[in-house]
Amino acid sequence: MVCNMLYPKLNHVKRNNIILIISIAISIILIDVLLLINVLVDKTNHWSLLCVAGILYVYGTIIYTKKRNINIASNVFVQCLLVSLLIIAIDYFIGFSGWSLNVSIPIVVIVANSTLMILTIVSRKRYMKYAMYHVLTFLFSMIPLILMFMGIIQNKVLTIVSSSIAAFSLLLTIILCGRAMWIETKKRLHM
Amino acid sequence: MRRKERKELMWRKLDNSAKIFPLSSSKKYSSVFRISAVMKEKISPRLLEKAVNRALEKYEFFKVRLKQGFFWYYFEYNDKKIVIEEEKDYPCKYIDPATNNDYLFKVTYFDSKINIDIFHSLTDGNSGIQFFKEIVYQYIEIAHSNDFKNNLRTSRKIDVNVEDSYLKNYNKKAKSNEISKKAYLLKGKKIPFEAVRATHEVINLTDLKEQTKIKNVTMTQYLTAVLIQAIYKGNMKKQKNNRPIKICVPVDLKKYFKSKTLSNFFSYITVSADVDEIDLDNFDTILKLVKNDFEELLKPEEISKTMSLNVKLGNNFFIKIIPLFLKQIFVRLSYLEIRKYTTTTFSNIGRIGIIAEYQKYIDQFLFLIAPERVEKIKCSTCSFEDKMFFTFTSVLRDINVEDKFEKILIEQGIKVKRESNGV
Repeated sequence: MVCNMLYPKLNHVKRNNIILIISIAISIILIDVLLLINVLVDKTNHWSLLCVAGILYVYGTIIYTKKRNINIASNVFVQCLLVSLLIIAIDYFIGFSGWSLNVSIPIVVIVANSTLMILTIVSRKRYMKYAMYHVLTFLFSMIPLILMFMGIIQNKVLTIVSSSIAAFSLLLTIILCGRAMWIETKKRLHM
Repeated sequence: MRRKERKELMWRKLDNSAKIFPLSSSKKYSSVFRISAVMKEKISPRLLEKAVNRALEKYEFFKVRLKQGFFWYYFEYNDKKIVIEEEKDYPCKYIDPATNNDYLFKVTYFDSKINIDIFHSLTDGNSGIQFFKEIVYQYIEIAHSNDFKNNLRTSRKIDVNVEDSYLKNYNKKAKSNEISKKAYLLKGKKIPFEAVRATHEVINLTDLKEQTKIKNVTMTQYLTAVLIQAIYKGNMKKQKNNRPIKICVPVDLKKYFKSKTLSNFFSYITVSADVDEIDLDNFDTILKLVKNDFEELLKPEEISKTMSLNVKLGNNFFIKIIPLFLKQIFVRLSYLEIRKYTTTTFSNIGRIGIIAEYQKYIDQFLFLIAPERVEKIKCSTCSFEDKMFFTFTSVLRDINVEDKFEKILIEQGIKVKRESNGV
């Protein structure tokens, strides 16, 4: 076949992310070993599942943060979601006394909304990039309040405080960046 | 509000054709086309970057990134730096926005060649050529500033016409009554490691014109007939398969409707050659069939009908309200089936016109479209000066179709020379 200097000579190399493949393989082996030890040594306590939840959390975080070009507000929202799931899993595996819903998740909500509030104040000009994640974080923050009205959460003070902070944070951003937020909502929801 | 902030707020919806590409594309189905210009001198990356930036100032339309909405994707203004790299991958590969500063086109260079790979969602071949020509003009002007002291071209910004011409021109009452047969799919072992072979048949345009004049057909009709016979002799004859060879030919709708949009505005016709109905060993019979099909299918009412049916589908309320992640699943599943209705695609972007003073710096232009798992070979062509560059992009190991294609042309007295990427 005739070939000239139109194209570079390329090596046929299959590009796989070897580090990721190795770490997934190690994690699967680790999970199997932990589950096996748990079953053989102590069937009453499901401590190995705590480790599994931890490993899944780590992967969730790695996979998301590995993505380039993601903004800080999306990281706040994803971490808020993943940490809450991890906390619920831990609470569930050690007998579900409800501390995750009563204490931990409202604290996560307070931290996430405070972070977004600070972000809005210090970088208003870039807010349009954060708007959608702020709305999502707000919606997530309302879950403890709904659970409180359903009677699932008993610690009303912390839940009301966390929901109020979320509402205040959203209100503040509407006042400061209402137009950007409206445009962002229009963009995301256009049909 | 400052200018930069205003730009960041700028966004636009995807046109009707563009909507489908992000939903169906993946690393294995890139929906990317490439235009290359082979210059007469080695490319300087520094000058190329300057040229691309200047072209982008004029064509802000291309300064966008793709974002996910809840129902559809949309374009948003992208103020990041453009990435210019040396060519180090096969042509028309998936453009990963993460490694390309979110841009939906990628400019690369190799030796004396400038490439632009464009994700089809952004624009079609004709507008892509318009933008690429601007890059080439800018490059020549920068590299040979002494020769271009007097402005030969306008420096004003191009009107960013982003209108969705599909919506403006479609017929709401169009109805389909056609039942289509599945097409013959090219068979053969694939090249390993996801490589793509590019084979350029450099055709003598004078010889080709002469032949088409004798046969009283257009160049696209003639080459489509050659391609059908090449597929039949090079791939289908060995198989026990009597499905029709179906060639999908994109059609530039700007020739049919008044539109100056830079967005996609194309439709397609499908030429079908059934081995049960005609003798595929006889070239003149194939040519007659192709000519008839083209004349029939390129009638304005037929073009309008095909376009309108596609627009109606994208505009259907029940499709609109499906969340994007579900649309993605449905489209990918249905595409597995839809692709079985085409043997290959053959796209002709025609003659690439360059201002006379710039021509001496350019040797040739190439146009390539991405092959994929089902349509294992795709064909494209463009012409520049006295040559036509017919390109096969293939994932098949054997080059029987390419060989037969060349042989048929030579038998008809047309001079052909081959160039390839050596895969």
